[in-house]
Amino acid sequence: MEQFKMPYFYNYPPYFTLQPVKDTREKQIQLWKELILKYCKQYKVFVINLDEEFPLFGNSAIERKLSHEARELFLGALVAEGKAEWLDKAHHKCLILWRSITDWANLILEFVKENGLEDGVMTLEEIRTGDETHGTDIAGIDRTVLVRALKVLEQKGKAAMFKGTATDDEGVKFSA
Amino acid sequence: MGNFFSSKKVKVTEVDRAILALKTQRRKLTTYQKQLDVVIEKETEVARELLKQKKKDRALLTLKRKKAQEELSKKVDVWIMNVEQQLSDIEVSSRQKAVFESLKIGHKAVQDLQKEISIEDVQKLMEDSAEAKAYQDELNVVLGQQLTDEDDEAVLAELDDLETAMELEGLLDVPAVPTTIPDKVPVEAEPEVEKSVKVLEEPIAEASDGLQTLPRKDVTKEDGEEDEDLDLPSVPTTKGTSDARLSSGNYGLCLPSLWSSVSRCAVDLALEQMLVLQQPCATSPIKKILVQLSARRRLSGFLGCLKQSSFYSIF
Repeated sequence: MEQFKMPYFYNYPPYFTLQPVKDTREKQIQLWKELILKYCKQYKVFVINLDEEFPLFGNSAIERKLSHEARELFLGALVAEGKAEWLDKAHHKCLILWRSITDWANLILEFVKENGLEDGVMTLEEIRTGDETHGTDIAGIDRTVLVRALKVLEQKGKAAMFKGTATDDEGVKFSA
Repeated sequence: MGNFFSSKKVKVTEVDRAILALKTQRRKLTTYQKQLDVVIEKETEVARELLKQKKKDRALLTLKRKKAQEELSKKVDVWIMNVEQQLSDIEVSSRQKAVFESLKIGHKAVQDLQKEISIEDVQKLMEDSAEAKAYQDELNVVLGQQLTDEDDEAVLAELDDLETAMELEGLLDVPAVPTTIPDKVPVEAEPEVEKSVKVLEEPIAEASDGLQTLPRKDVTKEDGEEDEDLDLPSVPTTKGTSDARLSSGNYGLCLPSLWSSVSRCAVDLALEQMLVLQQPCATSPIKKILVQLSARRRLSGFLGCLKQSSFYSIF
């Protein structure tokens, strides 16, 4: 995986401090939103936990890091755009949707068709870590995102999720 | 199997559940194997450490444990293989089932289609159409014959017209004919001629009558009657008047020379009539008409020849 190239503003200290002037702050928010999405897509990050250290939010080279308030503000901006979702009411965990649920669903459907898995059964774990999806964008998909994407497919009548005898084996049957 | 059959909900069968269970089992076994690998690696590490510490016995024991783990790992390999095998068996069986179902549906469709056509119906249909064809052929033959008959008749009639017209043109210049011994000839002729022949003699009477009266009108009248009346005896003219004329011997206007030929013709005519009457009794109406037509044609031909001869006898 190639190294993620940080944008120029990442090395400017002011960008790690919330700007008081409205226009400047809006520009700052815009830049950070784009950076978060790009970064998460590159490293396949699905969930950002605000209580834990997240490499993107701190630049050791210039000894700066975002305050909790700034992080929440930036992620909140993404949530407002529909590109992220708070996983709890306290806004500690944020699900980053650098690809929308619908797009995920379509991606899975495409994968199913390409691999002749219509009418086939796959376990959710298989989709996430199995040999079939290895090397595709789907590999390593967040379980929450996967389940929601499959629910979209379920509504379209293209898939059905079901549980096996054991609690941890969840499966999905496709029908393209 | 296509979008047509899949309702909004995808059906999950027991087979799907079995596949899921097997796949989950496979995943668990793989995880277990990874776990074993880690343990094996650790045991090796521990053995190395123990050897460094000159604890050979302990090292040997660790290596034995490692060996056991490796054996276990191999067993897990076999298990995974078994699971994989069963998965592919299920896959094959379900494909076979799908193929079988499709074939069954196809077979049923064929049967349903065949059920709609019974052998008896087909046979009956073929017989019917053969009958229809035969009937058509017969009709064609009959119609064709009729047409030629009519053609012949039309041609003959036209020929008659032409001849009569031409002859009459010449006759118009002929001076008035003297009347002599009209009774003599009928006496001579009548004993031979039967009653039915008398009827048939009419054409002669007509022809001879036509000499005195307007010839053209007579011809057209004859034509008109020919068209609508297929019954032979009544063709030439009204019966009563002719009969009356014949019996009373009211032929004073006729030429004596003509009469002699007329008597000869009457014999011919009688023979001709006999011929007509001897025609085998035709069953079908079409045939009947045909017989009548041909008889009539022959008669009208005879009539033509008669007229001709009578006219010639004048000169």
